[in-house]
Amino acid sequence: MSGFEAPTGIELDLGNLTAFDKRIYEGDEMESTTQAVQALVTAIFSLPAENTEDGKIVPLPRPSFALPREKPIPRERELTKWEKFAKEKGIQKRKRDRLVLDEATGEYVARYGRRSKNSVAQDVIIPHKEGMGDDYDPFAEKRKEKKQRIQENKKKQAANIRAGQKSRGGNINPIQALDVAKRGPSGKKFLPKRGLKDALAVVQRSTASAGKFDKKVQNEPKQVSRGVKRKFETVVPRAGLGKEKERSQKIAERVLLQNH
Amino acid sequence: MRPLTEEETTQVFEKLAKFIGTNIKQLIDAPEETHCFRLQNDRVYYVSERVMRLATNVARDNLASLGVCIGKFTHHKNFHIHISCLEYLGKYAKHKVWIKPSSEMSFLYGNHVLKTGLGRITENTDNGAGVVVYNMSDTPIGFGLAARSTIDCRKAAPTDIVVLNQADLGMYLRSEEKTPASAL
Repeated sequence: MSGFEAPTGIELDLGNLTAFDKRIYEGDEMESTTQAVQALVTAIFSLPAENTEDGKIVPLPRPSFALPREKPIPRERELTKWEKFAKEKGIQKRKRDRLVLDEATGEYVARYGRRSKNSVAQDVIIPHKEGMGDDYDPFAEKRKEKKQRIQENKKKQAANIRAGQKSRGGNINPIQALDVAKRGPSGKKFLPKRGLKDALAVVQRSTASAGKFDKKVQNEPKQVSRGVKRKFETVVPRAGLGKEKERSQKIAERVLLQNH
Repeated sequence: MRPLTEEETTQVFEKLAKFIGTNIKQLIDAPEETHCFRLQNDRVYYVSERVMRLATNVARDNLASLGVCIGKFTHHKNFHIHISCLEYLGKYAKHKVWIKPSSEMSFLYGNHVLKTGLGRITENTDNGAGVVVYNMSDTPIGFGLAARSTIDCRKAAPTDIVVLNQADLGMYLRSEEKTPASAL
């Protein structure tokens, strides 16, 4: 900071562009505010300035008052399943060339992706194996396999994202049906009936009165009560074990009748 | 610890009835002290009322065993009878088999009873009936299933299996490390 000294009782925090008046309050806000602001402005103008194209710029010193964050510090990204596995096994990432030598043509081609060594289009001839049948199309099979791999990978990606959100307590869709929306043969998304029913059951219970005082939609199905708890007889009945004995005897008689 | 449900009771009684028949009524209506069946940790115990009441003071997780272990419900909810209830099976057995001292040890090592080892067998034992195995001094040493009926036993060759070993006293040693003694 340059030579400017703030008047006693006023503390400046130039990094935050703030002035604190720490004197005992005597009832004149206007005066104390004017003094504080005056001190602040004078202090800023006494800082070394830089002349740039956009005009005069004053780099401010680091703030001395630690202002608390409004939001918590963002958590680290959850590791994906593969990353977790790799860490556990100690697998290191290593840099590989993007290009590899294609021995058949003697050219360098991409390792993966379009026009790569492994791309489906690259296979011109596939040897016919016995037992494949005459109408077997190995090219179609390869394309299908690739599509399946892509699908699998997409599923894994989605699972990783979901796991990440979950660990952060993030917003996972409570209505499962909207997650299980599938693509039909026409490519249009539709909600499978079962998931829809589950979703409805969740929604019906999701109000303050657990659905008791809700306005019903026309033809809305009745709320299903689920999760019936198993009930067992008391371990030590107050009236003694007589009833239990009777029950056992009945069962025994039935069992003996069936067996003989 | 809890009483058995109706289905569970049926399963247990069906198994017991195989060995002791109508005598299960004697178990239910024990002459001296009131007894009951209790389920703890998938195992079925035959306990006196007094012990059962005392056991209610022990937390479920800490309660290792109580009374006599009759058997256990498997993961697939089948009921398997255990050697620990031999005391009652021996007392009330419907079909009995006595084995000769020469093959007693073999049986106690978990082997089936062969025709050569067979000392005596109860009349009218059917093929597949539950039998309790005794040694010649009338001590119950295990139980199993009759592989042949009494009549067929007479015709059987000396090396034919007569009783299939399901449990024998040797299990207390062989399966010792698995579970507490009474809760095999």
